[in-house]
Amino acid sequence: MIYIKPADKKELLELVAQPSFRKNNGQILAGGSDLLVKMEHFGLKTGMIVDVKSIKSLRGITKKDNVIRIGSLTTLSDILESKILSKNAPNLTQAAKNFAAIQMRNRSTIGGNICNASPAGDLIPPLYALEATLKLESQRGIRTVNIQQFFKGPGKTVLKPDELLSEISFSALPSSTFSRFYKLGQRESMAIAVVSLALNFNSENNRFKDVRIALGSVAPTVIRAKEAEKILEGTDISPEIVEKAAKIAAKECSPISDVRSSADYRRLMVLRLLPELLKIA
Amino acid sequence: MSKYNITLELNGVKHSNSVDTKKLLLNYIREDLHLTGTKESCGEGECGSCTVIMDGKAVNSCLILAVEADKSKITTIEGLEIEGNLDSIQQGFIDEHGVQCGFCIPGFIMTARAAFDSDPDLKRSDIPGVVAGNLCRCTGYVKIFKSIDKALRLERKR
Repeated sequence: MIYIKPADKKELLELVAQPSFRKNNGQILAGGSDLLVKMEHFGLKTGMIVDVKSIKSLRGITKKDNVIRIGSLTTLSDILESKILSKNAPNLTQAAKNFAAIQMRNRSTIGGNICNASPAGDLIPPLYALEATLKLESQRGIRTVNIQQFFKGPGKTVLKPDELLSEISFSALPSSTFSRFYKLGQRESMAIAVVSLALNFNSENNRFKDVRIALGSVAPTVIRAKEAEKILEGTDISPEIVEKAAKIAAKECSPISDVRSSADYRRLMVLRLLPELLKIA
Repeated sequence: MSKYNITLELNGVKHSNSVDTKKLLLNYIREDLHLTGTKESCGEGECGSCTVIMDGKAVNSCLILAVEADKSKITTIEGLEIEGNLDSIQQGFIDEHGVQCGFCIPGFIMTARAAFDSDPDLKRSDIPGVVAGNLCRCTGYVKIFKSIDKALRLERKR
């Protein structure tokens, strides 16, 4: 197995564009918390590892003109400790807090969590609710996609073999926004989500405004509960409308039954948890 | 191309080796350096038995390639004792009888050590969260938490 550690982004993009990268089933190694498990336990065969961790320009969290940018190699520990994020995107901080445990947070990266494309990926629902934009770079150029257009199914994305996810960006939330995340797992730490919910919404004259609801582990990809959002938008805040929205959101899910939970239980949990997260208090 | 030269500092000693690119850091420590205090249980980052401190941070050595550790500074359980003096966390486990079968304990100690070093204000109530990534199949968590709490008090006395 060839091990290469490109010094900068330019060198990396050159490397992944070469035929030998594809011929060797080359793999990008960031935190390694998913890739190494696939190689050691799930039979992933690769002849080339490209270790991107020394590319410093891909790591860090900045805020300028109300836009927050996160480099794809930023670790979960960086996210958890970031004051910019706890102030401007509280549900992303909350998701990082519930992510695995210290040893994993010290290595795992936001880019890896996204590119692994698990419907249970912890950071993905908050990024859906934040309507994040992903910057994809290759030697051919740069393109941006909305995170909702990035996933094609479990483990599948629109990323081309020579492309790299370099940056995640979104607008800072006003401090008045209710920004929430909840992960239901079989234990508090180290759990893969049974269901996860991320919400952002404002309350204006006791009406719901700018409602964004993202649900994880209930469909082949993370989804936005757009019909539920529509029902709530501009409506007077009341327990009745919240109940109604939760019923609609549960119908928008298409969960499967697996080792962690049955499909029925997942739907029921969306129905029960969403009203809790929509409370104004 | 399947071998790679690495140089790292482990427990204060410099090592330079040619390692197989597929070799895990855990196996490099155990098989090449013959330091077997670092354990493998699950091998997939769930249990924390293989925890070492790498550049100041607790990490699972079963999910790191040895080549990734090039130019790093690593501490394993063998590196805590200094000239016959046990680390306060090791002493805490002895004082509070925190060890049952003992297999998971090096991992718990290394995770706690990294947390003590990075957060001087660590509180007793933080302990379960700190070691949430470490599993004890004997389920001796109460004594483990007590041992780490004792260590916190020992540390502050020193």
